[in-house]
Amino acid sequence: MKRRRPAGVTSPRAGSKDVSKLDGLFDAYRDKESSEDVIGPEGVEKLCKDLKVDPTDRLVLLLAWKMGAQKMGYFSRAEFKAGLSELGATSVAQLRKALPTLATEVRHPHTLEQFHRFAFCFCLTEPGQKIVDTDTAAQMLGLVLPGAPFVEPFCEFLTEQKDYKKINADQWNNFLRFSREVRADLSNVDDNPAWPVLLDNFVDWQRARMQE
Amino acid sequence: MVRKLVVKLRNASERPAEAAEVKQSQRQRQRDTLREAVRAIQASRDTPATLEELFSAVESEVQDNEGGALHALLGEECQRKAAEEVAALAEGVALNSTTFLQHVVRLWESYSSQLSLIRQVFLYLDRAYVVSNPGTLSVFQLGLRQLRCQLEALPHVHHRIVEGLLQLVETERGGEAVNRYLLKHAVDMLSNLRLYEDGVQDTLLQSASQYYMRESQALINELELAAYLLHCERRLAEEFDRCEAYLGLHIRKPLKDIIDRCLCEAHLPTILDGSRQLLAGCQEADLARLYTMCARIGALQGLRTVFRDYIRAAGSGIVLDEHKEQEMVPRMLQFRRDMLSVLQNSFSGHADFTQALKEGFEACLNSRADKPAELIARYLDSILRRGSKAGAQEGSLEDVLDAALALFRYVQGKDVFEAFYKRILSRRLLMGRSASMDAEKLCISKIKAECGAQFTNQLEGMLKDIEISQDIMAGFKQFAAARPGSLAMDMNVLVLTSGFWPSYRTFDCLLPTELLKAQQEFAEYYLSKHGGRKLAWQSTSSNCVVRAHFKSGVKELQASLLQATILLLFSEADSLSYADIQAAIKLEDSELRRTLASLCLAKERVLLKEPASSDIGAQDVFKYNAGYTSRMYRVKINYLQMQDSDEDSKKTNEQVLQDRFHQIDAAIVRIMKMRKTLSHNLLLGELASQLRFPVGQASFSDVKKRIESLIDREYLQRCDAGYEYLA
Repeated sequence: MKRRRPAGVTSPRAGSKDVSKLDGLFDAYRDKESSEDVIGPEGVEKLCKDLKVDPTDRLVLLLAWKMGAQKMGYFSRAEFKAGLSELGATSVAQLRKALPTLATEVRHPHTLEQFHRFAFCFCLTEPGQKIVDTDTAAQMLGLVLPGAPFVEPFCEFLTEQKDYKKINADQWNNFLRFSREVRADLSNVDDNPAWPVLLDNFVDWQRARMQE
Repeated sequence: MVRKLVVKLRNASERPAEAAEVKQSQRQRQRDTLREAVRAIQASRDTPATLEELFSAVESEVQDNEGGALHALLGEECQRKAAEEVAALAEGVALNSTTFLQHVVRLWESYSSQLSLIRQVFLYLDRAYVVSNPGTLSVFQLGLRQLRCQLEALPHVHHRIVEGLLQLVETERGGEAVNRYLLKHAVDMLSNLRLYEDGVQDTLLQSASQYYMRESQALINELELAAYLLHCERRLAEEFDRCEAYLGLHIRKPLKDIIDRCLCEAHLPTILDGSRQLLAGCQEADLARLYTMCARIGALQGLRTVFRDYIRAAGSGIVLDEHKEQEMVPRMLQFRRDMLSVLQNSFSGHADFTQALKEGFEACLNSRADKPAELIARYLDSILRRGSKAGAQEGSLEDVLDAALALFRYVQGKDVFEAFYKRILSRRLLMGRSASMDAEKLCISKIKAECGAQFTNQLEGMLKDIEISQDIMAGFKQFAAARPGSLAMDMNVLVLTSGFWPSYRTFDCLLPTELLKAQQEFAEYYLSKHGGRKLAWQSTSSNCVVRAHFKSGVKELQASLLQATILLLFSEADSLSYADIQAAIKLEDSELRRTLASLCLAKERVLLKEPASSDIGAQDVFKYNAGYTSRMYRVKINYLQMQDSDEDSKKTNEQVLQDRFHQIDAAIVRIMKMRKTLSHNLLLGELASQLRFPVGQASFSDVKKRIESLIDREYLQRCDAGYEYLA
């Protein structure tokens, strides 16, 4: 899978030299106390500091997505190496340079959808967990789709309403579609009668607010 | 001009000179005589020769090939006469219409009678000359033609006649009597002169159209609709009468069309709008009038819509009236009776209107979810409790049941009905409140016919249980009588099959030993007959009669089992504390309070309480109320726990709702399994046809939630087209 990279970034098909560099980089952040071969929350924080980004920055989430991270706050060795080599980075400096390209990459609708789906799964911290509480979802949504239509009112709605305490993948995924398809004045919301009830409720709430 | 023609004729017959000369003069004389005769007839004088002579003169002329000349002569004379008459008429143009028409008719009468006399004289001319010369007019026609020409030559006279005619017709429309004889003859004349059909008739129709347009605009606002309809009907009859009397039958159809158009069609929206009031007042005769009118102008669909919408609106008004919920079913029944009567008597049972009635009732009964079904079940309860007495007021019991079930037929939430009917039926049967088992069976058989055997399976099972229980009790009594030491207690046990009956809450409590012994005895008997079964006693559904001695005398208290258990404690002691009672019967706290309240705080206070506050406290002391009085010998103590509280009906509703969710889930999976992919709306459509209860706007989001739940459980997933089934 070839992706366009900014000039000056080395090829992802790096030799064994690069691989050992990545291993070295990983080991620098690895959680020494853990029995597993992972970078733990502290390592992630340190990495962020080195990258000069806030740990709650969208870029970090994008990086996690690029790595295909399974668990929030943890990067496994395989995830770390795959992600970095895909970005063609072997050092912190290179990684820092490559990060903004991710933001460009997710502007593509299809990629954004993948990223959006990933973000939901990323929130599922417990084994077998299928739903995310509304507060987490609202925060996450702000990270995933900053400035997208309806995101702000929807997050407000999520925290305000009482009917739902958790939201599921279906509702999460449908919000992206909603945000893309529905006009700001909600005039075409009935084109799709199958919106989840959560979104129907949001429409009612939003309409009431618009009338005020 | 006259002479010129004569000269020509003479020239034509000039060949045999002298004979011709003689003949010529003879003919001249003869012709003069004829002319003289025509003039005499036209002046209503005696003719110079007898009519017979004149007739032969004509005959001979015609035989001498002089028909043409004769014909011309007649033409001239008629023209002269007609011109004279019309000129006379012209002088009277300024007269009022009646007088003027009198002149006209007088003219016509004399002219036409003279003409027919002339025709008789010149009959031979008609027979020989006119017939053999196609294109020539008969004598009579010739006369008419001349008169017509003269009239046409003086258009103001002609117009005056038409105007007079119209004016008189209008006067008559205005309700005044006019001389119909005049009108008839004037029309007759115009029609004979061929002036009527071509010109006058159109003017006549036009004026009618204007008149009625004007009138309807004024009246539609002025009159009540009923009066207006009556007026239209009367107008139509009047015009028909007018046609028969003088306007001529061929104008009937266009006149009818004009009335329909001006009086009815033009105001159809207003009329249909007003018809709601007729419906509200059940004015059948007026509605029948309206129906005939709409049928005439092809507006039945409009009326049908009004009928349906009225039923929907008025019915919804009844259904949604939460203050009169108790009366809803009787009111709806009355409403339906009224509408059926309107349908039969006013709309002649037209199939479209029957359908409209059905649609209307379906719409209004389903305008409120579930409650109508519940109330119908309760209404049936009240009927079946009163039995044939209930029927006495309104026809036979069967009719009453039929009517109630007809309402039920419109209701979509049949499952709600089933749940409530079952619950109420069970109470009726257990408390012995049912007036007649036959009536119960009749009702169930009707429900069965409506909803199928599966629907009534459990209900029938319940009835059967009651019947079997009677046999069992008969057997038990023999068994008990044959056993020494058996209790002399009148006991009746109903053995219920657990699946058929609704479940009741049961409370554990210590029954008096006598009752326990009786229970044991029965259980022994029953299990010996039916091994392998398990008996569970339903304490909440049982009731007892307790004999109590008060100062005023002996009373029989009809009480629930729990109440009786408490009362029996007082045969040992006159006063017991709450704790004593609690210890003696070990009943759950809240239930004990409730039961005690029914004994000392309700209407029949057979116990007294200290302190006399309005609720039961754990420190209270209860006393036997020796001074209790009642007019009745047998006193019923209300069973609080058996009362169908709001809570109870809420519970039943919840249970129905839960059942529905399962049904919706199952139906969705069934449909999707078959269709694989389906859009949201199509899925809803299929659901609506599969489910026994309504999937309307109200439950719309419920259905959506079920779909979401199925997506969550990975039965379905979303796809571009809608939903996709996941195998």
